[in-house]
Amino acid sequence: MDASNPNREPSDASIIKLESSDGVIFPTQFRVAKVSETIKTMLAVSALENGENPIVPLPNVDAFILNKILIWADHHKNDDAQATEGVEVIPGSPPVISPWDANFINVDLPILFEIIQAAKYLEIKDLVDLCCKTVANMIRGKTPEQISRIFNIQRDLPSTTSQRGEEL
Amino acid sequence: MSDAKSEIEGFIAIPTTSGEQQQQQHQQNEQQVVGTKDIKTPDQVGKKQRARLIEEKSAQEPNPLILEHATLQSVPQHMEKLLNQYQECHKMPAAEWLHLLTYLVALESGFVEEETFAQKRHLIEPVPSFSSFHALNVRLLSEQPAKYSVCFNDTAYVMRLRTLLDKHAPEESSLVSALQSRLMAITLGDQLMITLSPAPPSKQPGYSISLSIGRYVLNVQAKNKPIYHRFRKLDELSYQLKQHLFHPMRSQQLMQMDMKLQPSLLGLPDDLYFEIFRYLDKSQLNVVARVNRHLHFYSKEVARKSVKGGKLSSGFYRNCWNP
Repeated sequence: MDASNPNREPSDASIIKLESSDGVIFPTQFRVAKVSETIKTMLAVSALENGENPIVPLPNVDAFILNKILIWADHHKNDDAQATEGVEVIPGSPPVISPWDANFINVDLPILFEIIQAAKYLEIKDLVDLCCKTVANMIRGKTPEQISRIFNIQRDLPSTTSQRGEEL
Repeated sequence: MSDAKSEIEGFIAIPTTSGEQQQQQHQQNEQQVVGTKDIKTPDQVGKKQRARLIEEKSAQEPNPLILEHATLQSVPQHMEKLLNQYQECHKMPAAEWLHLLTYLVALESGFVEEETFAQKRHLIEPVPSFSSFHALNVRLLSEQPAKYSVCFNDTAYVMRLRTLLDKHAPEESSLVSALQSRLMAITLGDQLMITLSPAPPSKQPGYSISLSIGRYVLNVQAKNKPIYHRFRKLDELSYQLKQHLFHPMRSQQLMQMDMKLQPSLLGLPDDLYFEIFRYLDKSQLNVVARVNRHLHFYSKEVARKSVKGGKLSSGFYRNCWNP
């Protein structure tokens, strides 16, 4: 049977339950949760198996990050999926980030990277894009020393290589 | 709007916990007469939603998840659990309270006191290396008193910590010692000097930070108020401790164990490097290549793939190869 059968899809206003890796349950509107392709697929499958009111386990996302992501999803639940398609990336020029998104993603670095990983796992493309743009913006215009300091990376290249800046 | 409908329309993500905890939380909610509070959402939520949010929250007040979001009205469950064990200790010096707060942040950052770990290890859930906050572990551990020794005439507090990971307790002793660290807090006048160092004989560096005690813990305890009314600027305190002590230490320990360090620019899945680097031009990629081997490899890969006309746009191609 086709798992993506639209008749099986819960209505937008129906509440589904998302369970974080640490066991916290988030009742969430389907309209919000469906920005995640992963959740959409899981719901389609579990609706077939269990019928009503399924709990979706998300073993790779903890409560703190999931809460954060759901705030983003709620803000973007009415976005037009086509709007961001086919926008050409011009390397070197800062990508456009909306003020709301910029404020949302203004978090500590470890949290930013946890959000990237979680968004990737949940298949929320626009959120992955937002995070990647943010990281790229942090890299742009910095020296290798600054980058290693910002991201807490130990430098392990022989000094000659790093001075020469081996060409790509 | 009918009640039932407003419930359905309810704002997302009011965390509830199942079973027993839910009940417990419910009781707590009833006990506290609470003003509205919200964690970090107010700026991030539209005005319309904000009104609804406030309405919603006062109806079903969830406790904040972490110390950073604690308010005078409401504190995270684990903070309440730990502090409840110290209700009789009003005379405790402010420095010691600050030390207890440090311990709470340590718990949130995936650390655990060694003796408590030995007692509770069968109940502790594995913590994946890419995250550190595990709500259930933290709540469980906060039911135990903080075990530390007090020395030098009550001016220094020493605690033995261990880092939680996804695989349960590696058996080799060399690996176990790589997970151990010592948390030492020394009172120096009105400052508390907190040091987190690897357990000897490790030669890895330690981390320390000096905090003004009065900035975070008031000297007076108001009558009939919970202890946490003495604490101030917990968001700043958590940030300082995580940023300068616990995150670097956890990163260092994971690196040492040769685990992929997830919450960082290193150790991301391959395709994310392409996603990030496609926003950079050739000269920026060259800079990235000079940071370390790992990034050198990926920035080269990005350039190589773009030659093959991979996922990257033609704009990237142009800039990279025909500048």
